[in-house]
Amino acid sequence: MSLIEFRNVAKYYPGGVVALKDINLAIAEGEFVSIVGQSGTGKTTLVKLLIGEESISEGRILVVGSDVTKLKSRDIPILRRQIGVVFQDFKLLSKKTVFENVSFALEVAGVERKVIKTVVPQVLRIVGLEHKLERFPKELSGGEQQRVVIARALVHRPKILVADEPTGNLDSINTKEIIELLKKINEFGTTVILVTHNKDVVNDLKRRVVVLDKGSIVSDQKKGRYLL
Amino acid sequence: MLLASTWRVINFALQNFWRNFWLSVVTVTIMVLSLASISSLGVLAVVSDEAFAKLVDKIDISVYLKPSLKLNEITDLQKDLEKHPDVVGVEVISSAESLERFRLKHKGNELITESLLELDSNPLGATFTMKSSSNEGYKRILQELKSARYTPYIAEAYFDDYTRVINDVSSLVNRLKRIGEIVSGFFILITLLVVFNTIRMNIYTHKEEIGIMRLVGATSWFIRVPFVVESVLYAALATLITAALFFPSLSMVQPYISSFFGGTSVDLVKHFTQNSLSFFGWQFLGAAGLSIVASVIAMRRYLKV
Repeated sequence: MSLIEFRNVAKYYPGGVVALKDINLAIAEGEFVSIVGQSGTGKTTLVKLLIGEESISEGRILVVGSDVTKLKSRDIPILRRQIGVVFQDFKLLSKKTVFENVSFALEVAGVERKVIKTVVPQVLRIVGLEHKLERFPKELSGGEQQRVVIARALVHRPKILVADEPTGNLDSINTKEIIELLKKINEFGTTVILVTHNKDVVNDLKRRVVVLDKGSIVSDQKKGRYLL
Repeated sequence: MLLASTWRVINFALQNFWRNFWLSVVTVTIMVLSLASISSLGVLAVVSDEAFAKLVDKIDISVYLKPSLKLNEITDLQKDLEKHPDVVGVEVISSAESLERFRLKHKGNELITESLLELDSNPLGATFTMKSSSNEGYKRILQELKSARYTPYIAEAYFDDYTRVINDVSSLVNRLKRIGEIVSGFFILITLLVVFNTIRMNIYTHKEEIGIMRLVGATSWFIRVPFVVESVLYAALATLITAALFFPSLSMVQPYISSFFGGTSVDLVKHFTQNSLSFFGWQFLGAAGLSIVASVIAMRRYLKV
């Protein structure tokens, strides 16, 4: 059984805008999938539908067997704790330290302080920031900030990690570091969905590549390449 | 877990308060003005009740007896009048006391004072002061006293009717209360708007944080409740400040009110101290309820979770 399944998913916006149509996509547990396409092809819309940020117009989305489209609003937070999300624009709180930014994700879930004190350093060790717990975001490089975001996304031990253009604001060295980190996380068993339009990154990975064009899947290859 | 979440919700509410400190100060100040106007209405109610009680107490029938009556006749007449169904009490003032009171009442009048000095004996008889339970009762007693049965004993019966005065005072107090209610209503409306705007501003200030909270799986409850707690915090602070200002103000006003009532009146500070829990308790509940309503409306409009 697939971990994530999109069945005949479509998303329309007012004014006849078709963001996605006829999306059929199954992702197994432990896969590393790159979803690629030019800007405006519906990549981010796909992510938003997956995490319940937006509602679908047609079809169904199954995550770990549950139909996301039928979830009540009070269950959406539970879904989001099962899916770690990393965005291009970091979304770190500037007045909180690295430790506090990561622990924030556990605090909002009501996790006790003593558990937070154990889990957060472990996660920061995974991303290589165990020596920068008390730094503030402005004291970190772009790559380090993105690693904090990844740590925050991992702190609930999600089965799925979605990274939407995580290297969009980074230079090539930091980009490489982040991609290596995502690969490492995938090796631990987490399913990784990388949404990007960076062809070099995708082609170096040599993993499954799903290509979107004008809201539809035009290609889905196990060891694909992204050809513009 | 619930305890940890509750503490964090309160912590976020306190953070909201401090981050927009001056806005919070303005909000609390407006609330204090509202509660102060409501407290003033409370004081007005107590003072007007006191005034009414004193005026009602002044209503009585003065019965001037003939000077020739003997003590036993006076006593028998008193007992006879006390049996009347409308009579609540009969107070006897002796002829000597009546003369003394007459002297005091007219001490500014030289003619009367000199005339009294010329007299060899007390021209005044004893006086009865009679009280009834109702205005109609007084009228019936007066009617009875004018009957032939009492003519041998009574020189004159006089009814101190303060009804008109009471009605005038009542009308004035009601008008003052109406003005007070309008002013309070105005402040309450402003409070609603100010709390609404403060919560709206805080939602805007915390837009980024709220976005991250949603992303990492915070429940709607966890995101919303700090704003509700914040609004209750405003109400609590406003009530405490109002209470802190109220009693010193009352102490300042007390001497003037006592003087107005001729030296004896209700001790306002004592009265409100004894009833402080209910008086300020209800104000807090009202203010908190109003604040919660305003914050819920602001969240419905501006907080998308």
